[in-house]
Amino acid sequence: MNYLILAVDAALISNVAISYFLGLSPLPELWEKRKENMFSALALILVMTLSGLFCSLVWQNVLVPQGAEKLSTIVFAVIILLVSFIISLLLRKQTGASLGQWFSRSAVSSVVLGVVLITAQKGYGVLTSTFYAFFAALGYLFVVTMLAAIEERMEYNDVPGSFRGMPILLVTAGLMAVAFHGIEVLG
Amino acid sequence: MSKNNGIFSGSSPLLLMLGLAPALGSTAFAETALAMGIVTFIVLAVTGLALLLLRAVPETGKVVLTILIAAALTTVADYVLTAKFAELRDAMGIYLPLAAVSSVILLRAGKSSEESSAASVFVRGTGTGILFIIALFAIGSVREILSVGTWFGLQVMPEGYEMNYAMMTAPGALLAAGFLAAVLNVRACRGTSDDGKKEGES
Repeated sequence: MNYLILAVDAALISNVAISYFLGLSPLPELWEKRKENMFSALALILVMTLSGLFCSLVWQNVLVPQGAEKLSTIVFAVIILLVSFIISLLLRKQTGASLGQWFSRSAVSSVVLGVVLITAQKGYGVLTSTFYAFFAALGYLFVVTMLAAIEERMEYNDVPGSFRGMPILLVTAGLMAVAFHGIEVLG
Repeated sequence: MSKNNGIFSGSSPLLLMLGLAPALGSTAFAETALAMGIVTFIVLAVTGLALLLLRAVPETGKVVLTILIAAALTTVADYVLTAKFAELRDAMGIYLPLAAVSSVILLRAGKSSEESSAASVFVRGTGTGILFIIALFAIGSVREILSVGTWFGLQVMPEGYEMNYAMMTAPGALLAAGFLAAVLNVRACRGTSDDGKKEGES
């Protein structure tokens, strides 16, 4: 497996936000507090990479040998809860940010669960899964940043009343998905 | 979170779209979309009822409990679907486990279990769940008809309809969801003229 292609695949071609529709839910919240965003972004990358590592370890060494693949949802959910709890403890020490809110935001986010499910489904090894999760996090943040910037500029556009807010963002994301399909040939 | 009280009251379109996003992947065909909607509805309902019984639990503990209950229920749904409708389960792929996330988002965003009475929470939750099924089914139907020209496997489009690749894949799901959200927004916009503006600014 060529790691460069895997990185491009994780970050752009199979982008979690655009191709798998994950993590679009907290979008309105994400750009409300821009100052906290830097730390949130770093923490999200950490949570996703570590969850990718631990989930694939458990998947490879416990769930698959025992034939208990179906239990992956609840096992992964527990691992993600633990990882995001530890990260949010660290985050609070560094920034004093409110623990509960960030914890619930990251734990509820479908990005983390989605990515570990994708790596398990694709049958990646431990190292590949961790690598994939890291670049998926980068790609997710890239798309979210772009959508936030587009949303900011659209404030001055004459968007029809009923399309304001979430609808026009979804249409924008759809058009971005069309563009992202262009680089599919690489994968 | 304080300003969410207005937007997130009851089953507003925005709230619905938030829960809808993780489920979009299952909407390529009307059948899978309907199945996904029903699974999410059941998970949502049972988790909501369980939370009503656990009112005394502090906030952070509630998050953990909500996620665990929803994940456990989704696992049960996974087993049942695999046993009874293996083909349908395969078509739903990784999106079936994400029904847990959808219901957690809907429950967290609704966040009504503290303030109001059990009956009103139940009514509101049921309303949201039914709207959720309808929304998923509508997106699935539009996508299936426009992409392969069938509906539940029946030919709808005239003979010789060429397959529309864009509606089949990610762009189609996002565009269909965007237009559905706009349709749902029309009512909200008509009520108070600057309602839509408020949502846009958030």
